[in-house]
Amino acid sequence: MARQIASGVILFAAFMFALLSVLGILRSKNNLAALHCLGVTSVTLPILTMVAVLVDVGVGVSAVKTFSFIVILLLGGPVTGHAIALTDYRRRPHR
Amino acid sequence: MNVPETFNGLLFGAELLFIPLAVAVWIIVSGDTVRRLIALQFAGMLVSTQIVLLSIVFATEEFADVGVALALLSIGGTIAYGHFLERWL
Repeated sequence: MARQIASGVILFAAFMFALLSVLGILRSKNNLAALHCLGVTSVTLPILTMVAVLVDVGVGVSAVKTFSFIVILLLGGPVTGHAIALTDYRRRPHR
Repeated sequence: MNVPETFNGLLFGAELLFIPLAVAVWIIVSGDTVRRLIALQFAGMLVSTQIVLLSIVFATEEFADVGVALALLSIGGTIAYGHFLERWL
């Protein structure tokens, strides 16, 4: 039960980061600031998810699959962020 | 499928992530074009995380591959859609 509560607390922290991030995306004045808020979740959510899975079920098939999922998210986050920023820059009318 | 009867931390976390997902869906529906793309990337991350967590909770680890595939497609989809936006819209 202690492991369940610990993983719940870790995922609650991930939820708080995600909530702050999405509120930042909602309230940002321009798209680059919104992209900055997206970066918070793209780093914290995969890492905290991995920690929660390791605390809850330990090392096993689930942890390996979660690790591969996390590697994809951590490598893909900067790539998509760059692509969205480039899109925003090239769509500006003054350019 | 094993349904947990007591408190499950992973299930709790997966359900909590529906709240930011709802806000992201709201941005996708009502935001401007690039902001929608940002929210779409955010929603893809949340949903793939939820799928991975739920596959562990219900002891169906093979479904974690769906989350991994969704994360991969989300990255490719965001890049392709951004390219489409800057070129044709």
